[in-house]
Amino acid sequence: MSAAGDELAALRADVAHADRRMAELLEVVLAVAARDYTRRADTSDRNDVYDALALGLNMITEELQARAGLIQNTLQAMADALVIGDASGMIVMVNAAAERMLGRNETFLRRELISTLFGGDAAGLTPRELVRRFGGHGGEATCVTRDRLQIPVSLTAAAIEAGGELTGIVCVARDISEHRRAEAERRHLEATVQAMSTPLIPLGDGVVVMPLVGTLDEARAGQVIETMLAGISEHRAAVVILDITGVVTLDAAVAAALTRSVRAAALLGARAVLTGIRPAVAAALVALDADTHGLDTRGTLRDGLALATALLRRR
Amino acid sequence: MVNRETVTRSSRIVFGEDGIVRITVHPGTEMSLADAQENLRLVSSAFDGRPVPVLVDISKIRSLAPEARRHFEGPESTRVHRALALLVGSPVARVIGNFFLSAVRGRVPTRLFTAEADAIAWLTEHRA
Repeated sequence: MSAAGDELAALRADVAHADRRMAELLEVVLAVAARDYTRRADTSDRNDVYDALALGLNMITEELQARAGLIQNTLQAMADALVIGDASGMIVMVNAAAERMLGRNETFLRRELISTLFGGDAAGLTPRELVRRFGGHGGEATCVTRDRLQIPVSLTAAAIEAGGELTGIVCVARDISEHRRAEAERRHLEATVQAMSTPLIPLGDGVVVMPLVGTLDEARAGQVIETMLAGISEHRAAVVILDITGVVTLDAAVAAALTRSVRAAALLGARAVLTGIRPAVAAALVALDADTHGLDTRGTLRDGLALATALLRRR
Repeated sequence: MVNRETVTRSSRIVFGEDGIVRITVHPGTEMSLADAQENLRLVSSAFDGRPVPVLVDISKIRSLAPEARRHFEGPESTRVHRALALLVGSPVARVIGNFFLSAVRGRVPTRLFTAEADAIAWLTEHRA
């Protein structure tokens, strides 16, 4: 064969080699385009430009695979429910927490509109409306489960945008059932403590007693007056005994509140008697120059009850 | 300073009297995580953990495993390399060299060279 023939044969071999390598690379590119990051391009000992392209492509694919895995693991590890929808609101992805909360698997949910997941004010909203209503710091909504239960959630919705156009929506919902229960329990406890801190005991014959314990501040003094007046009215009491044996300290505002309570009781036709004044409290009342005018006082609750009996007899 | 040579599965490592470490990756090497760890450990222990200027000839390398890349991106690489010069004679080496440029960016001075003399001259400026 001539030199020109050899050269032509070599060129043909090179072209064939290039065609084969490019075809191999194209296969990997097509797989990556289909989000299949498991394919790798072959490399050879030639260390040529095709090997460099294959290596670079493999490195990019490996990086994409690692990042996709990282994102997937992060989303699946989230305690909050995450739902991603497209611009029309069709669900394209949910995480494990969303599947648990809604009682549906991803395959089912991917046939649904994101708006069908929510109840109350959020029901039927478009992606844009969801973003407008629950963007930024979000708000409270309900999620509807497979069993039609409404779970209270803290919901945030963020737009996915490309070139200024809405292309999707990301919703993150946190189940706040426990928080709601704890909040209700706390309110109930507060009400119980408040009732216990301003107890009112009706003695049956026109006398009610309020034994006060602990520290009296202005807010609690206000509650005392409120409870006292309600008690006088409810039990048609003629005498109310405020026993402050268990009160450790009081300030000028509280001393003023106590004298106000006497006047308030008088407006309802009842006499207020203050009993159980401890030495420290008596000293405080004097030091504060409290107006004790018209205030019946007795050292003990027993003496106060005796006074109440005497007052009732005189009526 | 000792002037000695060590051969690992992936490379030949020469600890030069001039304070520069020269690593030549064997032709056709598919460098694994174990190879990366071994090379960095040998250099580190030879200099008691002090960073040194290193020349790596990767012109005949075939590939670098993802785990090895992660290792080179980690803190060990910063501890070992005072400066990193990479000899890149082939298209494959240029791809891997560019990975190194991003892997240690801002932490270790790194440059790609095609001539060893230029690389040594640059590394000499980075000796302690």
